[in-house]
Amino acid sequence: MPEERGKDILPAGERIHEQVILPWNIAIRITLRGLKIRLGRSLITMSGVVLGIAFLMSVLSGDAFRAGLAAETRTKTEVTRLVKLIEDEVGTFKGRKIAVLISGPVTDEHKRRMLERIAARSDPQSIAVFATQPDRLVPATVPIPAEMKTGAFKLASDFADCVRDAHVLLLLDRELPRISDAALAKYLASMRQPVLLDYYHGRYDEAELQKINPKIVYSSLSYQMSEAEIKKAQRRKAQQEARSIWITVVSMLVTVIGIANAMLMSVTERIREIGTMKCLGALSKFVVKLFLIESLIIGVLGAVFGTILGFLVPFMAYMLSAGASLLVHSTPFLQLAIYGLASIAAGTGLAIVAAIYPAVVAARMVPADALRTNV
Amino acid sequence: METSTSKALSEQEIRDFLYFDEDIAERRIVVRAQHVHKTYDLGRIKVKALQGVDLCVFAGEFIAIMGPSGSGKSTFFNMIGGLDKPSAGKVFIDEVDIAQLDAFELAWLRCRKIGYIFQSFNLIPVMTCLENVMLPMTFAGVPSEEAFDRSCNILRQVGLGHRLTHKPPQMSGGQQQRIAIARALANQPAIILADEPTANLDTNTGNEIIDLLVRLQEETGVTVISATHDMKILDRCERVVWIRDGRCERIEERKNMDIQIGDVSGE
Ligand SMILES: Nc1ncnc2c1ncn2[C@@H]1O[C@H](COP(=O)(O)OP(=O)(O)OP(=O)(O)O)[C@@H](O)[C@H]1O
Ligand SMILES: [Mg+2]
Repeated sequence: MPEERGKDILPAGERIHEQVILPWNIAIRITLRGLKIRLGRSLITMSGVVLGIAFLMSVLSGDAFRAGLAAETRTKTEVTRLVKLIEDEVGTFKGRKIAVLISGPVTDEHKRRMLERIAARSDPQSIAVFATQPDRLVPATVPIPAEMKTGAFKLASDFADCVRDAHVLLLLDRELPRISDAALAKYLASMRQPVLLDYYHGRYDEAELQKINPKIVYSSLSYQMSEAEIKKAQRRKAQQEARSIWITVVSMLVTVIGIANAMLMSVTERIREIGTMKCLGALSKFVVKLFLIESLIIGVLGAVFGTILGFLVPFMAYMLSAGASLLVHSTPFLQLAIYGLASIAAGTGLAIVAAIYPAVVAARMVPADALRTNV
Repeated sequence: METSTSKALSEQEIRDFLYFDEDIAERRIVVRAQHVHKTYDLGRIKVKALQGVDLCVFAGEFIAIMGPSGSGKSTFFNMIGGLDKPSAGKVFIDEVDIAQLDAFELAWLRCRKIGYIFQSFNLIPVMTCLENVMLPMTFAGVPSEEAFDRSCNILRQVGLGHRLTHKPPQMSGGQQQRIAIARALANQPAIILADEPTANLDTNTGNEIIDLLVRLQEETGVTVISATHDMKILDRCERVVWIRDGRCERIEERKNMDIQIGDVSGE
């Protein structure tokens, strides 16, 4: 037994005991008091964490805002192009009947917004929608969005009804029943204008259809990129990805170094103090505990503030340039939330590691060395 | 007393000695250094700071460790205070080899058994006078109300009852050293180790600090070991250990000192 040492020659009470292990609540109390006493210094250390994380988060969220806005612009251009193509065929949406064939819910952003745009410019009940099963022209129960059940839209219960007297027929989905050329020509013949617009490319052959009825117009809405265009787009995408990876890596490095520097400094300048505490009977574990709590508090607070700052600043900047509603509309908030959580975790983790490492080293030093340390 | 000059007694020899001589047995040995060596390895060169120091310190005595600068006083002080490990040799406190202690026992020893006073005070600058004195009590697990009361008392004893909430940087060197003395006394230690307590102070303040140490030593019966090259401490201590080049040159009693003082100051 350690307590028994020196027992045979020493009076009771002179024996060497084991130091008491102080509970966490005392460690927390000492740490909080320490943070309060050196509030100025603690805030400076914390601002190191705040700035590091704010920088990282602003790079990440700025990227997200930019990507969101760019995607929104692309969507708008594309929808405008689609609507324009249809308008070119029918002349005007006023007084026209439009037949739409679908086989599933309209979830695609482009299609949904194209339909909305057309609906806004058409007469009430002038867009007839027929929801078919994917293999046969039989009505299917397809979940139709609420806005398509009212206003300009009218759900048809029969495909023949749907196309009768229409000025244009839109084939909206990739999976649609294959209607034979002859049957299709018959349906088209019942329309005001035999115009068939396919959202996709190459489902029917225009020449074959025109052999049956030379008046039939068949064309595709989707834009067919040439080989060269595809290559160019791929190259640009790769370039952009490389650039954004590079910026993210650099900003992560800056963050790591900034936080590590702030925390390392705040601990190493107190190595003498650690030596003093050990002279006064502090266990190494207790010293490490103090720095663990301190760095946890500084890390969490700093990372949270930093994340908020790193979100708000680019948000304001993009709001001024792009407008609030457009920005809110186009921002991928889920992705930003993930970035935010990752930043908070990274900031806290870094702060703890950067503080605990020198604290453990200093606590393990013999006190004589720690007391001699001058930083 | 014969033991003071004899070097390198083994544990067995000391025990035998204690049993034979009633008079000496009264004076318990608190600190015993046995062939203590310390070599600092600076890569290419090795500094032999201590080259086999032997010393017995009795309970309740005031002993000074004297020697020129660089002779190894601070190094020896660190060894017997459990602040550093000897390269060879052993240090016993209450006849327990401190090299055998685990971290918990060593911390207990530093907390309850030994009070340290440093040349450069080593107070925690951001804490008040009172908090500095309360810190070792906190580490000893003393409840904070009790620690508060006891700290106030000790600070009053060292003459700082009116400066409880001041911080060390706002105080003079002498006052800071008083805080350090109060802190050293916090857990009623058996030994006070003072490494050049007066070196950073002017003569008058130094004398005050020495008076305070002597007074506290007489009141509480604590063992005081003071490394110093301050001649004033010579007058007040019971024995002087002369260290030169990391060796214990001689150990003298107070009665022989008058002759020696002139001797050394001439050097
Ligand atoms: N950490 C260390 N690393 C290397 N050498 C050291 C170290 N500490 C002390 N020394 C050397 O050991 C020798 C003794 O030093 P020490 O500090 O014990 O002397 P001292 O008697 O206390 O001197 P002073 O009166 O000036 O305080 C010196 O030569 C010193 O250079
Ligand atoms: Mg010294």
